[in-house]
Amino acid sequence: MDHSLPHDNPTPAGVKRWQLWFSLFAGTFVWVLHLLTVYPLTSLTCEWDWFPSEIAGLHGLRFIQILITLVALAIVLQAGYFAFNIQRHLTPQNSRHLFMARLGLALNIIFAGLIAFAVVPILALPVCG
Amino acid sequence: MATTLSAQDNETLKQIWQPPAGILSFFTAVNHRTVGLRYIITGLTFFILAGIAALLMRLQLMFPENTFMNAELYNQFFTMHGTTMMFLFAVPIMEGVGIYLVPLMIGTRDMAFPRLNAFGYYVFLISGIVLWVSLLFGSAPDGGWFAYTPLTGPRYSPGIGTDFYATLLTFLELAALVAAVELAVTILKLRAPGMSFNRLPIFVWAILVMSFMIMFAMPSLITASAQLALDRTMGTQFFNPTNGGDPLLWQHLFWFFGHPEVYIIFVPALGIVSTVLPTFVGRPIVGYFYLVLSLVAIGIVSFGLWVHHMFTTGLPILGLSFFTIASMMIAIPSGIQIFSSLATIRLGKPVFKTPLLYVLGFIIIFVIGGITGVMVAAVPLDTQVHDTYFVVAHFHYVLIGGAVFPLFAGLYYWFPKFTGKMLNERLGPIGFWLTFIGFNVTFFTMHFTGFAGMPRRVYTYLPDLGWDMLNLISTLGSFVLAAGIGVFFIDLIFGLWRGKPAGDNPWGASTLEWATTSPPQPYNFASIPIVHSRDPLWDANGELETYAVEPYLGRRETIGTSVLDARPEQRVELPKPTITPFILALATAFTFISLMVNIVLVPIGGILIALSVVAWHWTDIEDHKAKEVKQEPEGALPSSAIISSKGRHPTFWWGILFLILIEAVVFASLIVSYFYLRAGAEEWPPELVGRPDLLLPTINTVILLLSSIPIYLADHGIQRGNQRRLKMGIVGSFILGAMFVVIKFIEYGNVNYAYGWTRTAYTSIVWMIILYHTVHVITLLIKTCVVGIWAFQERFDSERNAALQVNGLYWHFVVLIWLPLYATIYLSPYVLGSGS
Repeated sequence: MDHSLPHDNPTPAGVKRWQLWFSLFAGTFVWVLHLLTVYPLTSLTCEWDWFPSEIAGLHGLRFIQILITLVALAIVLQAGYFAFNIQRHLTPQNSRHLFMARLGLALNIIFAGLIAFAVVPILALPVCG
Repeated sequence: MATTLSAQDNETLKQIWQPPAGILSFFTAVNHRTVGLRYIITGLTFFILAGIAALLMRLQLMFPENTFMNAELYNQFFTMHGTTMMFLFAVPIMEGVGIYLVPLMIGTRDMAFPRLNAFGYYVFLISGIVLWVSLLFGSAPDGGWFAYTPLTGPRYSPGIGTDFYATLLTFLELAALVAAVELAVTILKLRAPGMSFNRLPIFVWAILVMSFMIMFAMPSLITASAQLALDRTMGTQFFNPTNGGDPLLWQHLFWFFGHPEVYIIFVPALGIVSTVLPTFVGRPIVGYFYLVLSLVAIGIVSFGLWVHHMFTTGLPILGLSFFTIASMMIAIPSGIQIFSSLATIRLGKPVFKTPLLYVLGFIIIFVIGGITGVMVAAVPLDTQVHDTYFVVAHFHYVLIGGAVFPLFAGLYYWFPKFTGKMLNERLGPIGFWLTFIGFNVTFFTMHFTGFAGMPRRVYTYLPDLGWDMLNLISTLGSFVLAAGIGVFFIDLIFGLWRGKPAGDNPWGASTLEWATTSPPQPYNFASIPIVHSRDPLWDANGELETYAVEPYLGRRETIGTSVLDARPEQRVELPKPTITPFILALATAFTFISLMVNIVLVPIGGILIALSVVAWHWTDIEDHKAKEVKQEPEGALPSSAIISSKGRHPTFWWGILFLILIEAVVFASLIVSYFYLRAGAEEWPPELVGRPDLLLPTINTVILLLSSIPIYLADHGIQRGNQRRLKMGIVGSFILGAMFVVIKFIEYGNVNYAYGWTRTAYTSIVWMIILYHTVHVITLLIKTCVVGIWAFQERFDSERNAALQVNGLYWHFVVLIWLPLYATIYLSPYVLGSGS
């Protein structure tokens, strides 16, 4: 390997590569899964009359959707925490790693927002209006 | 390795890379700059045609009850205008700009798969020509660019026009996908040493994001247009509600592609803006990291918006609200782009040359389009303005402002690079102002036309509805706009003819495409540049460090680098000029057109395609019979070749990986189609057909799963130099794969699926899934045959076996993808019951 070329330093100790990749992609995957779950659930519930009874004082669908949203949010926040933690271990000599970690952190913030906002219509709108 | 080449080496390079001359060049050239320019020129030609169609429509709408054209012709014109602008202009031209510039910007000599690149262009050209020729014969599609069913189904659009749309769109998307794979692999694997991801030019980031968006979005359209074509030509029932189909399935599949499509066009345009701007304000772009973030975020979030085109289809309001959230949130990353541009201008010293004028025009127009975008993201407002001229105004602001203005900025900016000549700085601003004023007069007015209630797609209207003056103003504005665009084209032609010599870097720009001559030498760079920063030409002060790749063996070669950090890994061999891409494109076109005209001809098309593929690979086989390929010069990077390659994953491994990604999305679209149709069915499967038997399919599934084991053992065997295990593994997997196909045929010969795939939506979707997967297994068997022959000729060894790895990768994919298909078709009717 030619180290005279302008390459990043090796991954520093304390940075787990799987955490870096997880922090980069988890938010995207979880948001996509969340959308592809809560949206069809709404349609199917209205079409097939699923979740007819209340759970914990909420319409069954609302309860399930909030549960899914909270789980999704927890995973994205964990991914964001990984990214935040990784960037603290990095120096400017790890510019590419730092770039990835910051990108992961920012993306997780965006997707956490997108997922969290879904709670508002779930609670505020009629289930099959 | 940081050296430069001798003058003799440079001359050798020139001979190796020189494209063919004369008329033959059109059929054989594979060089990225030739193909890229062809995309651009052809795209601009279609832009002119679509523009003429628009002007004629505006003439018709100029006055109420006008008789300039009849309803049928008007329908064909607005369909051709939309289809051309979206599919034949915007996407191909952005890809063309990428194909021309990406290799130069990342400091390499060509694209990863030059022949595939040329193939994509021919497919694009043939599709476009056939579509437009259909208009000449009065048989153009007339159901709008998004071709809603049931309007475009066989009952309400009985002519051949929509067949052209459905079939040619499926064909045309091949070109888009090919270019996307090509661009993504080139960016991932052929970057100049040192160009790690945090040093990638913004335009290259944009093209990378666009490529992945195309790979995720287009397969959904291919599935939908194939289903529409089958409904129309074969009599399947995907969209026919009387037999279990659902017209809304089309909308879901179409808009899952259609909304990202807008961003597929817009994202590279943002890349152009962020490349042009720094040059004309004399400072690096502000917020590089945030720009990359916004590009990536736009690329992802754009896939969560598709239902906002379906707000008025009666879906539950709660479901719609999830898409409202995403539709409004996407304004944030889009806003980052605008604020970055404004901050860059504020902190720099702007020089108001023509490219910068178009960038400023983009900012103003796109902001207006963005604001109306947020407006229509709200369900109540969208319900009011849906299908009115307000929406027409909105998407023209987004698409013309977001794509055409940046494109014109880019063409002014890179014209010296393309031709070595400058454009006229007197004509440029005139063209800009006419375009800017004409555009706003035409389309800003349409907001009011829409609020006044005028629906889109009506060929005429009654007087005194409050629309007369507004339409007249729009029509007058459209001619001013056309004049501006006309000046732009005159400037291009005048520049080609009499333009002043540009020099290598006339704007004093910072990115690598300006590090070589204008226009570049056939090989782009004699020595590959080494990159230390995001603005290599500004930071290097004219002393760009280089990495030499000797013209070894008289082959076309460039450096293959690692994905993340761009460390040199391989010498990537690239093909010479060849006619095979053109022949393959003709054969593929013949097959697709046969689907419309006479299905009996399809097998002939299949044979022609197979022969073309053999011819395509023939030169590889001949090339790599040469012993020298294994004898590399001392200290040289290992060679990456089609048949025998060593080192880290070569470019074609990445190509196959992306092919798998595309295929996975197609299969996912088919599974979604199955469950979507199932969700709306009262009886699933229909009683007439009954639930599928489980025994034979389950045994067959086990056989297919087992077939992965020998291929795995074969791959691992050869990595230890075990030729016997390689041969046995290939033979074993081939036998098991063939057994799967034979049992499939027996199964469907006997059971009541033979009832026919055209009777109900259930049988249509089941047959489509099974046929599609079986075709994959058969293709895999043919592929394995070829690899098996090479294995028995002992062309592989422990170091050179990439073709086997690739074959194995694809084999495992085809096996694994069967599991969800098996669960969908065979298990779900038992698990989920028989209907709603």
